[in-house]
Amino acid sequence: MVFQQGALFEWMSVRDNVSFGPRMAGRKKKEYMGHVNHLLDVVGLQEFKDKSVYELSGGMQQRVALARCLANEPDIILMDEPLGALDALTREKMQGLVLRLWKETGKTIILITHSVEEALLLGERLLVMAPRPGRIHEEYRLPFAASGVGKDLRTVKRDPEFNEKREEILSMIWDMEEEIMGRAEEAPA
Amino acid sequence: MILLLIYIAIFGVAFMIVRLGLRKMMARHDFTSLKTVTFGDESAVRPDRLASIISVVTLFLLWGAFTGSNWVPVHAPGPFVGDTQFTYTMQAPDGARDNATVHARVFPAEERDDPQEVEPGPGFAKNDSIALAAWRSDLVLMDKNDEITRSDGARVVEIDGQPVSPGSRVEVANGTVAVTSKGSLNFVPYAGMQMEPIWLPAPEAVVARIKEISTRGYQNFTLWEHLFWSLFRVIIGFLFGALIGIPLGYAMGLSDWFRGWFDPIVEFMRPVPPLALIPLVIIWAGIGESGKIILLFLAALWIMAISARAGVSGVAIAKVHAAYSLGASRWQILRHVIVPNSLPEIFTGARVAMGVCWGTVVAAELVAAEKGAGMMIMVASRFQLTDIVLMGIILIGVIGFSIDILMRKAEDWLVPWKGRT
Repeated sequence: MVFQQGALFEWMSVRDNVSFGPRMAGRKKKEYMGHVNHLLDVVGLQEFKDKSVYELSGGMQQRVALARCLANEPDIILMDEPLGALDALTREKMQGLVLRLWKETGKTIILITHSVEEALLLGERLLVMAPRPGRIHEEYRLPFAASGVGKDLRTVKRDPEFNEKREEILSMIWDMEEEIMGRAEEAPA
Repeated sequence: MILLLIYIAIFGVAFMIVRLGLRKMMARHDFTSLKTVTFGDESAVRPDRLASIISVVTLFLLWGAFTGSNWVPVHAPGPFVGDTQFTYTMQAPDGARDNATVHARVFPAEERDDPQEVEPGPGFAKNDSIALAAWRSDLVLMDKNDEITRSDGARVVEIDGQPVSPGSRVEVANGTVAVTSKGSLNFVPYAGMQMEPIWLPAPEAVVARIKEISTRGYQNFTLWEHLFWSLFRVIIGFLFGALIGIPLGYAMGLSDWFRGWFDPIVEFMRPVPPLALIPLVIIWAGIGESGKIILLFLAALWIMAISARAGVSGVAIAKVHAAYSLGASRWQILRHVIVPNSLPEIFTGARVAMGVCWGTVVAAELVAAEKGAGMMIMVASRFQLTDIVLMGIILIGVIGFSIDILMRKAEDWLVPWKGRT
């Protein structure tokens, strides 16, 4: 599970955060340290491993959260708007990282996002949800994540097919929104 | 009143000099000094350290100046000390008048002296001589040697040539003379503007006391033993309070049953001032060490329990969820998430509790104790040893302040993440 933000343990160093899962499971240091170091390399935080979490930037903190989650070797990773609080540039870099991790580890990732673009870039299977009551509104199968691995994400975004899909989903969401709002306006009367 | 005006004047003058004069030369160049809008911006208000220094020095100077300290070059006018005299005119019932001189010898407050030897002089009114301490007054018993006394119908009609009647008051050299309703004379030498040592001793007297009591002791214990015992009680009481209070607070933060059981007790006991428990504790445990420690334990217990409970409820639920999702057990969550996350709250509580304990121990010692800082100043005040009282108050303040600074340092060291998440 990767949270929006603020779910790191700020009284621990970066390394202790990442190794939290194995430590709680009572595994020996020798067993997990190699894996933890590898993950720190993957998220690019090897040189920050002894720093305290509160000394890191928002993007680095989310990378710690990602590594911490992976250290536990889960089969399914749930990410609840993990990139929502990041600035545009960091977000783009993190999207590349999530994509790479997905491909390298082969794990199932359920990622919740408000950004249609992010969903298109990272998702194989896209579920659009509607509010009040919460339900799945529409389902799509997408090719961009599979083809986007290793590529510059901006080239993917320039793809006309990508833009077409984005417009399609956005207008669908707009329609859905109007429909719901319309209902809400009628309801009190 | 005059003192207040002087204080305000020093405040104003120092402000003018520092702001208009010195600051121009040593203006600070940092981020805050570049701010254009500073009025109303609290973060731009940094204490002017020069003002702090001047403030402390001013207090010290005023203290010294108004107690006639040798350490301070300027003094407020002191009380009159020395020999002076005034003349009274006695009128006999038959209308005859005669002058007599009263010789007054005013000696410094802490000394003793005898009246001068004076010639009785001619006439029926004889010269008198009195001796009195500075700041005191003395009744002139002129009847003792006069040949015609008040009981014969004589009365004082003039003092230094100024007409007087019973109840009036005239200025003479170095003092005033009041005529009492029964016609006798009361000489009051000028008191000046300095404080009597019995109200406010000079700084050097207080320092001398510190030296004396730290080596020779007061009430069977040296100064350091008094202070040590007070501190010892605070630390033991606080430790017991924290030892019981923190787990209690955790239990209240984690369990319905504990919360329900202890909520009424804690919420009821918290607003009871520890000082109100002193009588009960004395009845139960006497005035010895155990009574003091029980009192301080009770003072610290509720504060620590409430801060630990607040610390538990302050844990971001996302952190607990994260720990669960990473496979931590309940015990591990308590040990690795809840306890460290509640440390900032507990430290805040500990600072408050230490402050309350220190205040409570001094108050408890004021009521009854064999040793301790509070007992020292209480006993000293009964004997009007104001210098010991003052010294005790200063040391109690210094220690309380040091405790708070130490707690803050410990906080910075142990919970560096406080306020940074």
